[in-house]
Amino acid sequence: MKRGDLIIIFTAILLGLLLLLLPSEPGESLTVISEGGTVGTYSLSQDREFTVGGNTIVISDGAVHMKAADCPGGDCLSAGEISRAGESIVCLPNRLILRIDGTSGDGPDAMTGGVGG
Amino acid sequence: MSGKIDVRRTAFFGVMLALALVLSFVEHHLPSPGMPGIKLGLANVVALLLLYRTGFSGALTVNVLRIVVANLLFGSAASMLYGLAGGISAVLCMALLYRLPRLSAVGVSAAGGIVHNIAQLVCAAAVTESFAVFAYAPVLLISGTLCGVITGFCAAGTIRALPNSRKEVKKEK
Repeated sequence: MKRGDLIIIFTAILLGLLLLLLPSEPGESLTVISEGGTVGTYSLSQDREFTVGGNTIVISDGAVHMKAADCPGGDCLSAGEISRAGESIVCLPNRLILRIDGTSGDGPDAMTGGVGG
Repeated sequence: MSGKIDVRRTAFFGVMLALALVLSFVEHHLPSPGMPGIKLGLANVVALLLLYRTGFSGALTVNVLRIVVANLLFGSAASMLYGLAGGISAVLCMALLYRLPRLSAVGVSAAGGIVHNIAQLVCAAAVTESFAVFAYAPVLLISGTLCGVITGFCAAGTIRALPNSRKEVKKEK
């Protein structure tokens, strides 16, 4: 181990942590993108279950997860739940992306929303 | 050199390719941490070893062959694409860095791990025609660094333990 090694390692990990800790707002809607085109946008406040291609997508209690997929790897199944704006689940074999969007560009977020007046 | 095969060199790279394939095979059977893209990159040990002992072209050739054969055996066309994007970029990056006096194999390997993951993200963005995959960038940045450090220590130990075969492997001229 030399000094240059430590510089590379710590810079990369710090940068990663910084990007991870960037504040994220709660999600409002789910956008489904298949083969590069948007299939539809669904509100997170309404529970539903639907199928796009070989993938079964579930919206439940404001969170989204992949319930079933016919892809060989199944990475999207183990990706778990997403609910914050900017989070996504990607199924590469089926070229499918589930992305959570937040409220676009308005002022108070969920944390301050109840305080003002 | 024309028409004449250096048997020792051929055998050496054959053994190295076999070793890299065994490491790929072992890694293929390790449990996945549940997120696509996070993997140890055990075969990177061989790439680093070759880089330090035989130079850039040997490391690149064996790495590319390893990725192609490994994915033919137990991968898919898609995983070969990602493997090649990551593997070639990582070797290129490590080849640029490994001669720097302030870096050891650990730092070079960490940089290789980072570049490997970034290249795969770019590749995934191209396949999905969306930048959404870059949401994984922070996690992959950290995992690439840590896995690179681990394989870097393995490679550093291997390089130290093995006698310098460079003179024997390269044509003595």
